Amino acid sequence: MTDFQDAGFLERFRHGDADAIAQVVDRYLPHILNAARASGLDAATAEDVVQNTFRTLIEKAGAFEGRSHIRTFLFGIFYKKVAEARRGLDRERRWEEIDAVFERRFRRDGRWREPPQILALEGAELALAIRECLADLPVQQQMAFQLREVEAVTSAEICKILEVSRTHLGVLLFRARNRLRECLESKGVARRKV
Amino acid sequence: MRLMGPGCEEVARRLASEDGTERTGLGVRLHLMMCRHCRRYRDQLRQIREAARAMFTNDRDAGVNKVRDRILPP
Repeated sequence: MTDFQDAGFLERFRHGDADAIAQVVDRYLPHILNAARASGLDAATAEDVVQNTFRTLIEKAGAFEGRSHIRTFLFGIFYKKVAEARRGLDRERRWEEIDAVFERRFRRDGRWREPPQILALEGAELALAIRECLADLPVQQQMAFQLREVEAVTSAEICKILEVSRTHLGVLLFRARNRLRECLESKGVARRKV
Repeated sequence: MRLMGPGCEEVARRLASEDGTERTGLGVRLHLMMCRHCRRYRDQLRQIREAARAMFTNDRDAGVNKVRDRILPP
């Protein structure tokens, strides 16, 4: 497998070498495409975002200094493209304050008031519900979840991609995981009532 | 369940905020041994992570070639 941090490779990448660029595309396209499809955009817009992300990567290749990993650079571009594409869609949306939802589950003494219910979803049904719930998250939380939980990117790298502090990343993950959990629990409960 | 160390709310908060840089603390681990609700909460976070990872891994190659051709025309 190609070492994307190798000085020789980076030199070729910076000079727009077609083979080097193709290697980056082949390595990361499936990951970026997956993340785009989970981002709450329709299929055509998601593919446009992916195409624009790689176009920008190719245009900026000459300026890439190699201080971070190519993946960090690429996901950083992708995050900005998704945020831009979602801006119009999110303008009218109002998300319930998840911190308050979380706090309502506990009594004043810190014990559970409403303990988590057993998720009544499994297999393909759970996968579909996760896709629906993930698409509904605010973009920064969605990206934090995707990078940490699906792509297993280190927190240091995620902080660079999203341009947030480690403390803020913890808050984003807390909100993303709780929104997903609440969403899945409500879907599970709803299906059980059918 | 009321135990020494962090309570349920604090345990759930720490579990949901984990970013993979620190090992789960002793207080949280002891609490989890004693509290089934917090164990269920932790297990759900794991279940969601594993299901999301499996779903995206299974779907990873779908439609890639079509998009690749738009980025790098054949």
